[in-house]
Amino acid sequence: MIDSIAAYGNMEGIGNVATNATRSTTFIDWMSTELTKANGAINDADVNLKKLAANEPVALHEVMLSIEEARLQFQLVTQVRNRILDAYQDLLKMQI
Amino acid sequence: MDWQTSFAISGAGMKVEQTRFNVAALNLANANAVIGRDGSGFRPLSVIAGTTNYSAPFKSYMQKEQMLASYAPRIQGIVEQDVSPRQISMPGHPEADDKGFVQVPGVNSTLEMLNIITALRAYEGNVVAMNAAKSMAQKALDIGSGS
Repeated sequence: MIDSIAAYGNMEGIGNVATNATRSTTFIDWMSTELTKANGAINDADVNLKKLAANEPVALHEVMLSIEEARLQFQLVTQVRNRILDAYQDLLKMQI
Repeated sequence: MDWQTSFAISGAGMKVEQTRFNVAALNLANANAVIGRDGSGFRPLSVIAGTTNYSAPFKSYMQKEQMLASYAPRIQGIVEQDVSPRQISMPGHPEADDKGFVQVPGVNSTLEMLNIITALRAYEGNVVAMNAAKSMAQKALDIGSGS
């Protein structure tokens, strides 16, 4: 019995169908890239602040701009997380 | 989130205005710095600010939203003003010439004060624009949070 279907296992391409399909970007991917961006922005702001504290020549407005950029990026991730959590709680409260 | 463009534009404006302020302050600071008899000394400076990326044949291509940041102003150069030094009669000064005159840079104090004030106001304008961009971004994040 097994021998009779074993031949189909050798057919080319069957095993590759799943991996060949183009992987669509998921929400997790998006969240992960945005979090990485936010983290990078915060690191940039941190580096700039350290330069300012060490009295290195860095323009004050550049420092403030990088801080604001980091804050905005972080707020974006936080707000998206809040909305998703709201949706999740709506699902939990659903009567079955 | 493309608020980086807004920030980059305002930041470039601030950088230009800061340089203009620095040059005006430098001119004022050097207003009475004596020029030596050999002609070595300070000459009043002025800032050339402009958009380097502007090329007419590609204007229609360049005027796209995503290209806006490349239009941000830049300092193209700091050049000497074409003014002759002022002569001040100071006989006995080590750098005085045969007739007792000492040369100092021909700094136009009124003009430099005007430059400082316009640079300050333009810097403030850039800060206001940047704050407005930030408010817009935060307002966008507020969408839907009322419910």
